[in-house]
Amino acid sequence: MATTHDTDLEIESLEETLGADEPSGLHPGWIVAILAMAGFIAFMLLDAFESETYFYEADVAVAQGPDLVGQTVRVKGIVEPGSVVGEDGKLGRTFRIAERGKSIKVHYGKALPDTFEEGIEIVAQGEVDDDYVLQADEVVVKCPSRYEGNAPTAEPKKAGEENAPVVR
Amino acid sequence: MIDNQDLGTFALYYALVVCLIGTAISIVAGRTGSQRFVHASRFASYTGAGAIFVAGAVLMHALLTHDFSIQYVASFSDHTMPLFYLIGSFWGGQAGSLLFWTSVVAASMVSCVYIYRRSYQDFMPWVSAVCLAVLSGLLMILVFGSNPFEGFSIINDPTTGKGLNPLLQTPKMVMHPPSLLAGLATMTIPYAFAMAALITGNMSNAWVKAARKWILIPWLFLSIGNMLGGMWAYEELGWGGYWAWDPVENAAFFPWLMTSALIHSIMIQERRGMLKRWNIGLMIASFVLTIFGTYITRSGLIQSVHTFAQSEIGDYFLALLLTVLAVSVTLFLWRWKDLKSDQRLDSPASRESAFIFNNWLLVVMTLVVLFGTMWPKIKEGLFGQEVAIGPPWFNRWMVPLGILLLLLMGIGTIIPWRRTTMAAFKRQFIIPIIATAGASPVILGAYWYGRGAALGVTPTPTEASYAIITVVCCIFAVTTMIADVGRAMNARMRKHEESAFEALSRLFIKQRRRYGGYVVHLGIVCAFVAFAGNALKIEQDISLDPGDTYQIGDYTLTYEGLTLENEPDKDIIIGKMRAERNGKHVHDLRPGKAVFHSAPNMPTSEIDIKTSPIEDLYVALVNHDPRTQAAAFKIFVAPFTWWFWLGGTILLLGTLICMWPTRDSLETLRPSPGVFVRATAFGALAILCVTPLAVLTYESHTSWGSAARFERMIGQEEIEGTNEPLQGKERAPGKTEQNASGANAEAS
Amino acid sequence: MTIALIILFVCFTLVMAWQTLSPFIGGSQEQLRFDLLEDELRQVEELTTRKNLYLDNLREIEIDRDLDKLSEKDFLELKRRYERETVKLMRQLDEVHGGRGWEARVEDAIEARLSLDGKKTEALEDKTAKTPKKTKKKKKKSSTGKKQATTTRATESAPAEITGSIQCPECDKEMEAAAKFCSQCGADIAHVTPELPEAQISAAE
Repeated sequence: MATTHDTDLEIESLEETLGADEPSGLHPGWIVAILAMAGFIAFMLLDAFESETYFYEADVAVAQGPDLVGQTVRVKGIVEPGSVVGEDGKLGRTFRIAERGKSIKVHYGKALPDTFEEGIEIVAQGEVDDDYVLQADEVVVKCPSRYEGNAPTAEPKKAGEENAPVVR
Repeated sequence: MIDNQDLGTFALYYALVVCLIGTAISIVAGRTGSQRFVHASRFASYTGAGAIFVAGAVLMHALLTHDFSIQYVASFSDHTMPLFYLIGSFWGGQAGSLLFWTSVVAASMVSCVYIYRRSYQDFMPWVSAVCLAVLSGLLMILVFGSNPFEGFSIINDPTTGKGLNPLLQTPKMVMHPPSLLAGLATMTIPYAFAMAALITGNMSNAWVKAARKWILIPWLFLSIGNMLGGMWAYEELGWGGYWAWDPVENAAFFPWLMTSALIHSIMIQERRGMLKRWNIGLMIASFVLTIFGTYITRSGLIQSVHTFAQSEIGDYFLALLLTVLAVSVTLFLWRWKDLKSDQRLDSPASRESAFIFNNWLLVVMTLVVLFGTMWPKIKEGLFGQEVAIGPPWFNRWMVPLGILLLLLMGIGTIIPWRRTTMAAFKRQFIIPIIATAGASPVILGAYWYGRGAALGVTPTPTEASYAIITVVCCIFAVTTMIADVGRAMNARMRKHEESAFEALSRLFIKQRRRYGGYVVHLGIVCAFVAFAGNALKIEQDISLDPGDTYQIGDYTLTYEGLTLENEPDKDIIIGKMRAERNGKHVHDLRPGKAVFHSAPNMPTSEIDIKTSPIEDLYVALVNHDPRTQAAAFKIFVAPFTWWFWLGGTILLLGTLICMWPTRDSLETLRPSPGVFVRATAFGALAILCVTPLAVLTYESHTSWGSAARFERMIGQEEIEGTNEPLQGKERAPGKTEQNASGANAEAS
Repeated sequence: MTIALIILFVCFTLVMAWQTLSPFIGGSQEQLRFDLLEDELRQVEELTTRKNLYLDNLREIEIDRDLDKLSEKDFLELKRRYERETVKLMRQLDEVHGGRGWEARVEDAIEARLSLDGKKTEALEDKTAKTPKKTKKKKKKSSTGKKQATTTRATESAPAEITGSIQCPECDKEMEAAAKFCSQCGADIAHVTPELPEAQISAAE
């Protein structure tokens, strides 16, 4: 390698041929990007406001009184022992979920998860009808104590949830 | 005999001290470059890791020898558990899973420090420093927050443990947490490289080059973990789906999305010296999100169906999170100016910009999921009213984003670097576009008239159009890939006068990263096919009396009654059902319910899934009336779900191809493993990746997957045809679940 | 079995802890060893790694060009850039161990240390046993990168008096006389005789 080629081998000279300096100040592209981002987030917020469901504990839900009728809500509570009514071999269960002494009646027409039993905490989502019964279209069982302290997602995801992945 | 409790606790304390000292030594080494300190920092890493391994080995020993004087062992294992599940209970609880996490960080640090012991001299002390600092943080949580070696404070020495929940006693559940944990833990290494680059101020591509293989590792583990979790939910839980946008699932999904973005954007930095800030930012975000995910799930901050012990451990994680965030952001801002791009984007129609759009999409997806996960909490903080955001919201946002991503995947495969001239565009795009335009109607039509229409489902216009667009994009992505590989093969065949097969295999050997990436893309395409299939999914909860028939899709299901089997450890109720299609018998279904004597109130479902590439027929026994034999069932016909598992498997294999070390990188592992060892290792890993899918498919066509394996033969003669009852006959009566699950364990 | 595992890890930890401390508690020669020999060894590894990465990149862009994903102009630019980087690294490699009396320097270092440690015979034997091994290792390493090995050999074999340059018969690139292959087109030019000596000869005549 002859010395005459040395200058050619310097990297600095290369940057000039290949790269251009970044302009000082904000590139218009950035402004567009930021605006797009802001619009996107605003839209997402609005959408979230629309599709959110109020989440109550059973006693708070009951405290709402007649306001609750006709609303779609998510209610958390413990299944009252002895309150589960339903026929073996048939679908459809009615039970009461309670929190701090107050309880609300829930009817669920679909298959309950395996882990459903009296005395455990569940979350029911659905509309409250005129008889003040929560007509649930989703019942999620919180994991019983046995699972406590398990590794992330080691716990069963019990749900009658909408399980659809991305595309529906 | 040494006391497990004392030895384990001592090992943890010792590891903490070593890690703290090691961090200090490494910082000195990094600042002075003194070889003595560099040497010491390297060996301090080994020492710290060694001590952590001792702690891990002690816990494992305690579990295997049933040392119930340790609280953890008593809470998560019992005498009757088979070895496989005993090993699984190592990470079955909070403290153990944290120790496992720490061990994986330590192990990956050791391998990284060893592999790069002679290269990247400027980075390695800092890499050790960052890893050791992270380890110190984790060890502090272990030592002060939840010590796995804690004994009983009150005199309550039980002679038998509580055991593991029956639902969790499946091989998939044993492997799912460690893969996720390993994914979260191994994220430390690439993060350490990014930090090292920031600290040393070496803003060249060196950190990217050093870290690029290490980024694939967490990505691989997260993929495996999420996939196994989904499979378990689908097969064991009677849940019908594999993803429900639950906060805990989302927590594992953020880092996966972020890492996917990073894997793409580092290619741009390597090639063009662009996106330096972006890459560092993404790397920091990925790492922070792993800790954040752990924090929100462990602290009980977010309502989830997954429950965790709501201990003070959340506070520790919050402290760790804030420290990491503060340090990273400070360093990042400090070096902001130095991280200027070498070059700028030449044209929006270039491969660079396709990659950048892909990155934006992935980041936006992360933001959407993050927002959906956090919004209930934010809302509660702002308005005091707790809310919930359901899967429909997630689907509404993620579906269009996903489709865009799929489209970009096709474009990004073939678009040229820097700028696309009209001529280049024609050369590259004409064939795939024509092929897609030709193949899409054929494939869609063939499916619809061959099968889809018979299911009798009319999806909503939105669902239908999303599904069709998804399939078209999938076809486009595949054609671009085929076109590109074909072109490369041609080039090789011309240049080196090779046969087509030779050229193809050479391509994969010489360019593993690129073509491995293509394989991963193929896996993603398959997964999207499965998502599209959901548009035609039928889901029914029904209750039937014996002799009743029920029509779902074009299947006619006849319920034949119940049988009860008594096993030593449980009773199994089996619902017998036969499925006919067009008047022809296609399946015998045996969904069941197992009631463990140890947990009589918690029956577990034995779901029968008949899977095929076209569709899954899925039947779960919900409940039954022993008197009238009436029973309720949950039934699905889910088209293309099989493709999701296939996609996952292909994705894993593709990642393995990308990660497969080159001869050069093996040089650093002297004495280098021979070809035989490499081939064996690769083969074993590949088999491991394929196993879940293979087992699923096998189970679905034999008695293994359903309650049929418990069926005794008396009174079975009336069932005609098929081999399945015969297989059941060959099995000795009174076969226990332990044997069966043991065999499953071996298989996976 | 797990007992064995525990013992194994305990031993590992102890050995590593000893290793961590060794640079600080050993004698002065021990410390010298750390700062002298391993340093160069690592430098070589590091430069080789980086060089290989550039060679990989070169291969990548060639494929991209073949697939029409990179315009000819961009390809040439990038190629030049990577080649320069590679050459730069190879030069650094040369400086570390490429034919500039590197072996002699190591020998000197050993000699110096031997005389220094003359009295401690035990330590001395240990050293001599160790150092040549290191040297061999280094040589092996240098042969991993083919190009730099060529240069090394070339410089070794070529007598120092041959100076001047030769021209590649294929592409007319000028190179140092000792080169065996053209650095631009890779043609075999071992047989090409340097011009300068010829000129000298003719001048003498």
